[in-house]
Amino acid sequence: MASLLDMRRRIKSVKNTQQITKAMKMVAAAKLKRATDRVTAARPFAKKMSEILGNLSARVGDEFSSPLLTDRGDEKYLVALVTADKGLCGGFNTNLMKATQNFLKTNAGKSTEMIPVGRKGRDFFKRRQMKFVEEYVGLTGTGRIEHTDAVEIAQGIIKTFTEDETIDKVFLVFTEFKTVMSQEVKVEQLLPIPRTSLDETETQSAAQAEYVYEQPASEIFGRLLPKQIETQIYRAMLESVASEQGARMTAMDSASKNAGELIDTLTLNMNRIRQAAITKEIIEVVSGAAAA
Amino acid sequence: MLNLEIVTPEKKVLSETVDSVTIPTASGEVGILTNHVPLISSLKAGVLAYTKSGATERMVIAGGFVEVSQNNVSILADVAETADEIDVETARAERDSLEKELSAWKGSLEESESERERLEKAQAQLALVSGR
Repeated sequence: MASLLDMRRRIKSVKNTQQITKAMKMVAAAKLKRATDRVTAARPFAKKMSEILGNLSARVGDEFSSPLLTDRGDEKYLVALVTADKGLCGGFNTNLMKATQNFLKTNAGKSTEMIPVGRKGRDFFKRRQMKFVEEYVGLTGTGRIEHTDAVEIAQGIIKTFTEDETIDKVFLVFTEFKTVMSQEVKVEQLLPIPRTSLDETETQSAAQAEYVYEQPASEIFGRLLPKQIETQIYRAMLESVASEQGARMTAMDSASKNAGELIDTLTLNMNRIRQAAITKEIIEVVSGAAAA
Repeated sequence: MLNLEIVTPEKKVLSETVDSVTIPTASGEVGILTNHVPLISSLKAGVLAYTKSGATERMVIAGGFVEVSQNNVSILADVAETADEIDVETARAERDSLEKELSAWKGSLEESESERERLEKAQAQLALVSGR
């Protein structure tokens, strides 16, 4: 049986761990608040953007052609995977990897390349010999996503897509933030931009008056499309950061709880051992006295 | 009366009822009053001005689009800053270095587009600060 001292040591170490998990939970909670604020702040822009796009899409119709809209076939995929830079956030990264691997499995016939955003995804797929076009690491770690970072990534993707015509489709894998407890991994087609996603708002905007276009509608449309990609990636990154912090908060909360339970059982055991030692001593004293 | 709404990808900068607004668009400055015809245009870096009960406020905006419909003016800009938010030193350094770069430009006019846009933005920032 473990000695009293051993038990004390174990309790102390579990307590230390609990302190760390508690602190991490607090930090995650604070970061989560900021992250969700940013998600909310980014919404008006994205909403307005898809409204205008829907309008323009209906207006320019199918005559307008852009490499970002044209279907190319179904042979080679590029996957942009948004993960966290750090671990200790429950199943957050694992879920992303699983979803991505599932996606790769269902599309096993296609050749796939990847753009990992986030250290965890990069490391995971590097070990699996995935070919990377480009990698972005160290952006999500701070919990502050700058729009310029998203623009850089988006422009990189657009450049790769327009220059390398063998790439047929670009997908974006990220975690959508629903609530603190639930996050959902999403796989969205980024490029070519699905026409349907543009036309979604068409019905409501059709009622609006005809617009005067200062520049040709197709020109504005052409300039809006890359912006739409930027907005989508920015949103994905913001959602991902919020999800990451949410997942970490939940994970650290249950870790603190588990540590508490462990401390309770250990303390009980320790007291038992202590009591056993005392009882043993009393018996020794009593039987010693009886023998004398 | 017009509802002016300025949003950047990061946040909603402004949402106010104003009397008139002047916007720097790619085809020149556009003044918007109540009951303006529905309009969509791309923006160019410059100073946006709006009047509200006699007082005029100014802002620098760069890159993006404007949509006018039913007395709602929505501006989707990459950057929107008031005079207080502008770092004069950075803007001046940016302008000087870009001017140098552009005067020594070897490539075609199209290639320098992003540099010219940045120069316009820096110039607009300085114009706004000095005009205060």
